[in-house]
Amino acid sequence: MQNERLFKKIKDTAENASAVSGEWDPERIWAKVERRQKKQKFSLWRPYAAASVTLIIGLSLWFLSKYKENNLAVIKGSNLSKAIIKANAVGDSIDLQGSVSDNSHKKLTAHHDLRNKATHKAIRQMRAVTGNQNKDKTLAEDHVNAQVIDTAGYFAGAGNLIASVEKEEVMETNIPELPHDTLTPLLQMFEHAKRVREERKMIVRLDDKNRSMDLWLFDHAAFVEHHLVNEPKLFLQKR
Amino acid sequence: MITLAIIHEAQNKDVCAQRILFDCYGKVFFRLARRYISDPVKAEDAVAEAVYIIFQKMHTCHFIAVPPFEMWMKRIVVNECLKILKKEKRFEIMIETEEDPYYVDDATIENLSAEEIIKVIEELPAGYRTIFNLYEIEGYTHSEIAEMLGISPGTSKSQLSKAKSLLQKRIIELDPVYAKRKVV
Repeated sequence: MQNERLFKKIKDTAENASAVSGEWDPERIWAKVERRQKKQKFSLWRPYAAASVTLIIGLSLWFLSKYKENNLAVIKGSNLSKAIIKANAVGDSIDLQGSVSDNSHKKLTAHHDLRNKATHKAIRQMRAVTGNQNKDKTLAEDHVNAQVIDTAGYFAGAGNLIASVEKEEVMETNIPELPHDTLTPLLQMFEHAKRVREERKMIVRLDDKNRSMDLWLFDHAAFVEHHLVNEPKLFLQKR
Repeated sequence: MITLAIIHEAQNKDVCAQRILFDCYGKVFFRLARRYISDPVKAEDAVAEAVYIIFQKMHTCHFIAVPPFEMWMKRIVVNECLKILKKEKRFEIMIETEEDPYYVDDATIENLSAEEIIKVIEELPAGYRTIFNLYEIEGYTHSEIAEMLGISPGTSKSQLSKAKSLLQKRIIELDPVYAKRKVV
């Protein structure tokens, strides 16, 4: 009972005591609360900012890789491209001679003309071989390619020969697709249809051959092909 | 005087209403925090964090009267204090041998001042003080205390008993008559 009185007094005192009033500084605590709220606002924006930065970096990297892919497509298995590289090699030899003798503007221009001539010659030869298919389109593309190579060769003539040779092997090309490639899906479809037709024939043949055999009637294909609805009696009689 | 209108305004993130609430309850919260945490700076941190949580979470609750709102706020303050105590690993369960119960006579109880009581409570070990505060002053049950502190209800009961015993012993020691008798 005495202890109950003691603890009641302790409770009342603890709830109402003002012994801590000297340490109480509301402004300091309020400043802490405000600081915490500001921090929270910033932390709300932070993930959005980080996400947008990541998105921008990702997009720029993607565009960069796309750009590189477009610019660094390696020439593969194209006769036209080989011919152009050959023409460039001719141009390079001329370029080498030119650079040994003199690096003047005149010679570089001459080299440029020679290179153009060699390239166009190679293109004409190729066109004669491949025929007139997609003539206009290929011509335009070839002109662009030739210009790219010429520009690279022009700068190579001014200084770095080795670098120019390396650069010239890498170029943008639109290799005309072979007719076989375009027909591949059609061929595949044709093959598939042919296979299906042959299978059907096989089933019919098998069906005709084994019509009298009971064992084949249990086969799924036999059921399908027999049209049991039309001749159920025959089936039952055989069983 | 806090009204429901002020509480609703504070729920709508009105800074003026929030400041009014803080001015009204801040001191109560600080006193409450100081009962658990003896360091005033850490008690301030606990109050600041609790006030921030109150302002952030109060729009999620619907208060139909002021007393439940006050209870809700006090509970948040207590939770923040317990969080700090747990972080500092100062909340330790005391293992002591059983002592004979002390009985404080009426005269000693009458003569006890508020400062003496607060001092005696502050001098209790953190574990005892926490459970004593939670049970005797805040009015939590042993199962609630066990849940809050991550201990068993039995541990809570035994710790409370030991806390009371130690408190009574220290109060008796404060009595000048007892002190004189002890010296003799």
